[in-house]
Amino acid sequence: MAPKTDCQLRAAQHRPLAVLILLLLAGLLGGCVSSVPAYGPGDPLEGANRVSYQVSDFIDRRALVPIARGYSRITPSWWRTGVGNFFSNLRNIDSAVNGLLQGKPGKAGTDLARVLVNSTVGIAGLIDVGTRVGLMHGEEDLGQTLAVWGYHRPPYLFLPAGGPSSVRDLPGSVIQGAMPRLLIGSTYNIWVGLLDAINARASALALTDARDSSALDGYAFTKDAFFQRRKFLIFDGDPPIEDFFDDEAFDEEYEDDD
Amino acid sequence: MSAGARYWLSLLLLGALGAGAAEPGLPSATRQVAGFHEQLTAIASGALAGEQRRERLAPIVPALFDLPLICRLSVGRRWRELEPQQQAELGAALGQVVTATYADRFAGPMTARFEILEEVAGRRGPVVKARIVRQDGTTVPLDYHFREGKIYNVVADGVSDLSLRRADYSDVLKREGFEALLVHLAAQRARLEKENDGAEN
Repeated sequence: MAPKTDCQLRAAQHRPLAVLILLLLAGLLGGCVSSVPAYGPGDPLEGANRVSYQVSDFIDRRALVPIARGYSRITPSWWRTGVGNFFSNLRNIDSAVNGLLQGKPGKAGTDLARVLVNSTVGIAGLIDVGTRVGLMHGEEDLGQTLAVWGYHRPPYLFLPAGGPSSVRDLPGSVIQGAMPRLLIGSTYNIWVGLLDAINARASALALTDARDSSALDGYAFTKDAFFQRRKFLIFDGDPPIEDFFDDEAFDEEYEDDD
Repeated sequence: MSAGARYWLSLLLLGALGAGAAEPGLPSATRQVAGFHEQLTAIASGALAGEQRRERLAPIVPALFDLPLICRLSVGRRWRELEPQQQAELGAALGQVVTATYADRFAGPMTARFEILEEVAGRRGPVVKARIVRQDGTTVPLDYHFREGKIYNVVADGVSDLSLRRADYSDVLKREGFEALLVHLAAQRARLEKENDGAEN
């Protein structure tokens, strides 16, 4: 999901905590009453989500993509990699905390070690020394923690200018978006936020180009890709793969497979 | 050596159809995937025009991928509502889209390489676990799921191509109907071919 702009970060910081809790509770209730398979893409807000997707797609194609392409053309790859590493390093702390909350102390320790190594030897996180010495990024977040704790099928959300998310994953995204500002402090300004956002959008160009050439319905494609990616992360890279042979239309023809 | 002679020599060395030149003694699914990777690598480095890439891929795709099964699984319950001719049309359209997609993805020299890790038993057949290794050392997991000797699903970095296709096709079928699905697929193929051919112009 695209990092938040500075304006959105300010809005998130001033959002009452109570509203966030209410949102979580509403989402939990909505998720709990569902009887469909776990981890599937629930979309009770499809109408509103589609409108949001169309508006966001319009803005993205006409503004963000040209800016991101121009940025990619004028900046060398080592610059873009360094910027991405810098902000990713700041978010490793969030990954470490959530690793602990999920009962994965090893991963949490690795993430903290990454922060230490990358912040020092990696020159303030610009160079990802951690990966090169075998300290792999845990990629944990609050949304995954909630999934591990039992929140499996959240309603899908497509956020204007924010991209695909869910009621379960949104709080974690807000936290990750706020991490650089919280850690950098007063040095963080709108230009740092814009650099984070544009660099992230540029790094996602190949993905959205692949979506545009592969998808018949960009909304459905994006939603399914989002939930699959989340399941991949929740299961630490070894998710159960649905093969769709269990569809009742095929049961009698594929009995011999079981 | 002319482009035509290089093309035919490549076919002889690598094998145009099916398994290709992978090591004998490996399980069949692994041989097929290894051969496919070699084909893709050769196509990417062959400085071929878009139409030439599609021509080389055209017999490979239906030989390796179970297109009728992929269609059925992508369409889901609505498959039985389609006439046999509609099912055949959809299978043909899917084959053309898959061919055009690979031709588009492998249009130039690769900056990454394929690696096959292992073959394991899956629920429906063997699963060949492979990966793409980028120049910076990062990897992308790539799993090929087989049933009865052909691929029906490719999972890249945890994202199932079959699931994406099912979500996509089901949505179009539900909202717009079968004919619209064919129109969308034809438009997608045309778009990919235009991108393929436009890259050389």
